[in-house]
Amino acid sequence: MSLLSFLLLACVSLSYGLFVCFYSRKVVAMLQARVGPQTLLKQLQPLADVLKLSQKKGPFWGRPLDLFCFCVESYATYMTLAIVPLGSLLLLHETETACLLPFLACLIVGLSHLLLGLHQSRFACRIGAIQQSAQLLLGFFPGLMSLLTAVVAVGGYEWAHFSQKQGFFPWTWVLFSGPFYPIAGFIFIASGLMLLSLFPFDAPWKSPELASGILGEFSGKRLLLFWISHFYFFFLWSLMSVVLFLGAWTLPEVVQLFFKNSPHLLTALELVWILTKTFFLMMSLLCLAQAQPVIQTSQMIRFAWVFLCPLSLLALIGSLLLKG
Amino acid sequence: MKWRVGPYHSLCLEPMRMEFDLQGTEIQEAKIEVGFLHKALEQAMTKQPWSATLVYAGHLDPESSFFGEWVTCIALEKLLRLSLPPRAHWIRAIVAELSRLSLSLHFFSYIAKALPFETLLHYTLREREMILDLFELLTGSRHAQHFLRVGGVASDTTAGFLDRILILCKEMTHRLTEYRDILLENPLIQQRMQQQGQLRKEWIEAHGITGINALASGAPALPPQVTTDHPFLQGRQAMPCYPRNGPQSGDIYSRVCLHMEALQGSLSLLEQWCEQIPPGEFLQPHAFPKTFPEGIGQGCLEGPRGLLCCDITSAEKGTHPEKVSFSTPTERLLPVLPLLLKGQLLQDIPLLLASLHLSIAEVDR
Repeated sequence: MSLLSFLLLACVSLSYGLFVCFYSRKVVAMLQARVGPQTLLKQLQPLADVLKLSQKKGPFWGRPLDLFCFCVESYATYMTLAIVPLGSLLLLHETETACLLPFLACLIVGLSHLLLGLHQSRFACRIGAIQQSAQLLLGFFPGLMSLLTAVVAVGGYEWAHFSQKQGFFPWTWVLFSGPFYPIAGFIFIASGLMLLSLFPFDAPWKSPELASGILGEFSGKRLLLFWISHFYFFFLWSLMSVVLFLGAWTLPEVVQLFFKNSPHLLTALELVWILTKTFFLMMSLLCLAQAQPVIQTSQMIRFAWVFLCPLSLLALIGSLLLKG
Repeated sequence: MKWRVGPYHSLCLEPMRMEFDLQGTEIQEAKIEVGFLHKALEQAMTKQPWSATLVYAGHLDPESSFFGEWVTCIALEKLLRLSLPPRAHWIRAIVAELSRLSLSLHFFSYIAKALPFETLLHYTLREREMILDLFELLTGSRHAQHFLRVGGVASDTTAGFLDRILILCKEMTHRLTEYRDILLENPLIQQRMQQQGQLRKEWIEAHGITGINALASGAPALPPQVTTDHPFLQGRQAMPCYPRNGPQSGDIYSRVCLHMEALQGSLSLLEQWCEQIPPGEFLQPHAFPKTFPEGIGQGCLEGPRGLLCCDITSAEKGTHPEKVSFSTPTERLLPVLPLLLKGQLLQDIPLLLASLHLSIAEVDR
């Protein structure tokens, strides 16, 4: 990828991030009968919040352990940029294990938070860190099983496989191509929310008795970077869900033939299409989350052990048997 | 291990210090310490002239200042042997019911915050704003209205006030269906509330707990001897819309269900009273005396949290109260709190505390 393409992609990503961040807050506000963010240039509200947090005084990290955890988390989070599937020509690095890298990144970030939390003086912080790690492990297994189910459906691990085996129309997507794939799709999304402590599974930071848990130790720039990485993981997991189960970036054959001689234009259209689907998935998840209270860790454990794990295994074994 | 929480923590709704003896996240023993909001209210009232009494009484419970003023008014009116014009009674009852509504919605906002459930929090506060608008229309103030006077109320109802109450009642009845659906019918929330934080009947009888906390455990909301002495309380309890239909297992779910019934009951009462309010004077025409006769004035009423009483002692030709004593529902509930918390998990504490509808301000005063 050339430098110009990279810069163009970075601008598109930043604009998309601002757009999604703003509209997600607007949608949540609408559901909660509030006005939501209101500024002169409304879509720049997230940028205003970034500037506000980055100007706060205070140490970026207090101890060597904080610095170590920060470096490890940042590396783990942003190494996944290399494999973000945005289109057929927009892959920095395509490998056989690209779809497993986000799982590894989530594990590393989760363990880093556990380490940080256990070394804090606040009791609530330690409990929050332990709860977050428990959630991470709960969501890991069913998420991995449902990913493998999607791999069985398309016959490969590479992102290109997922795109080639799915079509533009919903009945050609993996999600609707067999009786076990809707189960796997639902489990992949739910386990991702659990794994990443996203709503409505964000009890480690939202429960009143934990007083923000590990987030209570973050402020200013450190908190800003946490929220950016949190939002990035939400986007990445939604994007992966779209690629694995909801048709990836595949456009209608007519369009592919029409733009056959303009690969850059085709790539741009693929990017718009996949980002649109990801946007709608993210908004749907936000809307569903607002209708529920935050789910307690004990309820999550029950849900994961009683439903997610057995169903994910059932989906994998069932799809393997069907495929022969 | 020991964990000290407070006096300001997201776990406690009001300033109080709690010390937990934990085994993992299970509470083996709990100690409660209050007093952080002590204002020496009763002592201050004895140092000020009679005209300042009602102003101080409004600070008893800042969330429901109307009831503090009302119970003090009843005590002072008994001392002066004053009778009220009928319209004053009705206006007081209507404003009291609006206060009760506002506090019920505040209760649900506490429940939403304890869960946490942001959507419900915003919905309840949105409805509460409508009630505060009505207070502003009538008295000029949204909180701490200082609307009562000895012998009546400060002013008559303003134009459109009663009509707006009827509009509010229609809107709220529709909203209550929403609250039931998203709060009481949600299986995730039911799982967290049922069989948790059970208030036993023997604790209620031993400590004289009143109000919805008592009703939810199958005990009467007010002691029988109180209702027979007070026709007004008897009349309110006899209304068909008085909350009595709901689970009575004493757990969090029973208390929340009964609060929902109380909300519905308040709306029905308001609709009836707004249509039946008689015309007439709103204040007994008399000069507020500088000295009071000797005696003890006792005021008693069913507040939103339970039985609220006030005793005021006056010396012969006293220029200020000799002694003021309040008896509040939360101070009867507080000794039971360590018993309730024992055996609970940390994650259940915020919801348990929110469901008891405590007011530490009225305990500390």
